[in-house]
Amino acid sequence: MTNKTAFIFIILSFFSTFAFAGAFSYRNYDSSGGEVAVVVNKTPERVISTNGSTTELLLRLGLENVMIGSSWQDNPVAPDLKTAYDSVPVISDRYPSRELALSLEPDFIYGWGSAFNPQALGDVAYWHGLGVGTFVNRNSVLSPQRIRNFVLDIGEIGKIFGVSDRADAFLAQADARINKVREKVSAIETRKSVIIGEYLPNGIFLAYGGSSLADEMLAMAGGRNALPSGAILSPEGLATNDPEVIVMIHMLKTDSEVAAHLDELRKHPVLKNLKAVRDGRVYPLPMAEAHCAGVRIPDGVERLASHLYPELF
Amino acid sequence: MASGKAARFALTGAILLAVLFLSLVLSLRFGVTDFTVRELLSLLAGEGSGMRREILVNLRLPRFFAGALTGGSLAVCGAVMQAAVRNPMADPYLMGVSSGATLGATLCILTFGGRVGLLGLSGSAFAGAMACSLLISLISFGTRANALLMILIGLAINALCSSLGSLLVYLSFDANLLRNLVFWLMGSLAPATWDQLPFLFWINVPGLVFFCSRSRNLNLIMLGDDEAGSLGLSPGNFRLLSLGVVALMTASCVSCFGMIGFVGIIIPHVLRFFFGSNHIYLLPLSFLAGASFLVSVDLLARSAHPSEIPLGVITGIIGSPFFVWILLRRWRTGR
Repeated sequence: MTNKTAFIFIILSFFSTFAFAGAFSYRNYDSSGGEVAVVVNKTPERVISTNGSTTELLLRLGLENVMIGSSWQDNPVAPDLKTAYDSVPVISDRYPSRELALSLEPDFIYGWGSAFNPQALGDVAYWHGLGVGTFVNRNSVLSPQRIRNFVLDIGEIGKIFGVSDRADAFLAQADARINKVREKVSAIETRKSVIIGEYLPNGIFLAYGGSSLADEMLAMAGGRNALPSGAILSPEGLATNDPEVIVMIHMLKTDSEVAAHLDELRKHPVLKNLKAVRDGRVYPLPMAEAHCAGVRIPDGVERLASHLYPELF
Repeated sequence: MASGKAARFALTGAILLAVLFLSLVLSLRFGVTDFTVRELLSLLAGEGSGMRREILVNLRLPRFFAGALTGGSLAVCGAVMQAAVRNPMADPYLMGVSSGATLGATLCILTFGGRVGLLGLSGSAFAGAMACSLLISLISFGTRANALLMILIGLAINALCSSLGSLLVYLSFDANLLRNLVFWLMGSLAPATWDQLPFLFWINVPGLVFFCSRSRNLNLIMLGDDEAGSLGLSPGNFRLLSLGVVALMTASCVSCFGMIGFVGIIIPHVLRFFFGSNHIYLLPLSFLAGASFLVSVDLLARSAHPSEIPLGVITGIIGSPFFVWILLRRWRTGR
């Protein structure tokens, strides 16, 4: 290396380091799904996470030390993240108010789009004006919801926090787990027909359609969504479709609550005669593994596959 | 006698002003985080920076003004509506005007998406509110309905608007719209920032000035259309104009902060008990009392829970028993 090239190398190294330690900009979203440009001036050190899936993503990347608060955990946190989760204060069981969030002096807020509604934290532009970075989970504002959106999310979070290696490692592992499921179910000739969604009181069922993340996960697990258009079904609607399997997405905390919830459908005077109920093919799926799910997508795909084809798993 | 009443009015006005000032101090000091008086003064004087200053100057201060303006306007709207339709139980919330505004705003978002501006939203809310006002006027004056029947008609219109709004949201499958509707139905001052204040100010303050300057007309219209006509007022035109301005003011409040009920019935009733129905006194006092009431309730709403309890829920809890009490009192006295 000549002196001249060494000099150029040193200068370039200096500037590249400067750029790395300096501002990081990225495209993200507001609460309505509109694109916004976000600039983060330094690696965030005081982070609020507003939803279970965003909290678990940060914890999975080992970022609990920079978290100053979490809120709105739909289901219990993943068991292997419990210790890290407990080390971060839960600031609210629902979305924190703007005033509460401000009082904690965050430099970064990560959550679903709904967290940035006017009655919760307020618009992302407000926080950007204060120099606070925001990151909205893509699947909470974009339609259709897709696993690709989660891959983009975790990649960018990895860059923002300087932990891209951990994000890449997680994705490689998740990819391997999902591919294993796909391989196993690839030989299945007739896919099980499934209605997947939320069971509401009095026999009403909110069936998730083709634009949901659960639909894509179901396809990977070898299932076929019986209602790709999605629907709000009355007991009559559910009986007319009469799927082979029903998956009930829930936001419950304990096994006994989940069992009682399943029983509501199983013991319904009309729905108890459904094929899925008679065959014992009604299964629960935590919201954390289905709707706007992040790092629990592989868990969800594996759980769905094991429900659909227990003989293979 | 008149001068005695004027003195009582001046004294009550001064007391209510003092209460409003006290509610200002309390609402600035307390919330999920508290400020000492010393810190409050230094931050307001422009010293300091950071998030605590942001909380005080850009959240609590505009929220106080928004709450005071909204509470005062809703109370005055209630008093005016009670005079205009000659029914002491009338109120924009109970008579479906607020529901009409919510329906208009829901239709607007459904048609134009979530990116419609405050003016577009308020315009649609106004159209919905005005349609309900006209409907109430037509039905009640066309049928010469008595006070209780009119309330029932108002409740029916309220239910109709709520059902149509729910139907729109149900058919749209739009989670964001559902959240917006839930927000409007429950009401909250959480979205208050300096940005909305000019809009609220330029609709509500001219409205308040208009009604205060027409206090005599409001007194006349309460005597009955024939009497008011014989004293030189065109009751039909004035009633329509009043209901239009009430619809406009209500719509501006609803499009910013959702449905906040019962302020328009609680405040004028309490004040009428002490001052009678002379609107020269009733309207300014209603504004001050309504402003203090809503700011105080908002302090409770945002201090009681980290996520804030919706304001409309608390006014509903306070207002519903009050409304039942008024109904029973009227029923017992046969009025």
